[in-house]
Amino acid sequence: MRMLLALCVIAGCWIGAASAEEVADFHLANHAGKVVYLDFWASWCTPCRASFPWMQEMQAKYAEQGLQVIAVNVDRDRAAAERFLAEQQVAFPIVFDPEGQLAGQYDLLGMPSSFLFARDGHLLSQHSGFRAKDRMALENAMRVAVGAGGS
Amino acid sequence: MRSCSLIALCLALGACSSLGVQPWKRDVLAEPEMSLEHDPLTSGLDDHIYFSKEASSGGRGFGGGGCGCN
Repeated sequence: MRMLLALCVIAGCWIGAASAEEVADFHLANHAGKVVYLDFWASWCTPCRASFPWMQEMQAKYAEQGLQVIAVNVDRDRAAAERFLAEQQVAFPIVFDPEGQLAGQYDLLGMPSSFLFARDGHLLSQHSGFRAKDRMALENAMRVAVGAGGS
Repeated sequence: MRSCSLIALCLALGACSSLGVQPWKRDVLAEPEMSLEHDPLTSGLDDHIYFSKEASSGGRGFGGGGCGCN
């Protein structure tokens, strides 16, 4: 019984698991033709954690219009990141950047930080922090970028 | 002697060139143990009074200092 339960949990994690890649394998150009929402997060950052259900929602809502959420993890402790991800049903790719290579390139001002790229790869907007009042503006920017009309 | 002190002074110029922790490297600073508080309950009360008087909050620990964490 316990074995079965463990198997179910593992299977559940497997189904819910997002594709994970290392920072060296990440290229924005691979996602050309999609509106990319690049989010930098860490398991120790409370607003980052709070943004996950919202990012899930956005990914589900605008996937058809061509939105791709990509979450870059900057945890130095990979296990902490994995623990957090195991609690989430993440349906978007996770990039692991423990050395802060990509974070340094993007010169983050705070955590979390997000960058919205148009289909042709140019930077549309960037945002630092995640507060309840930010959600509307962020979603609006996405909606305009995917061409679903702003409000 | 003079050139020695000149070299030492020049080297000292670079000493403060990389101050500060990058926002993505604040994992240790974000630990509860790293906050400058002796008692969470007292600081919670202090924060409440501070918020009521100043209409602002946060900035107590490193984690909350500008990075919007914790």
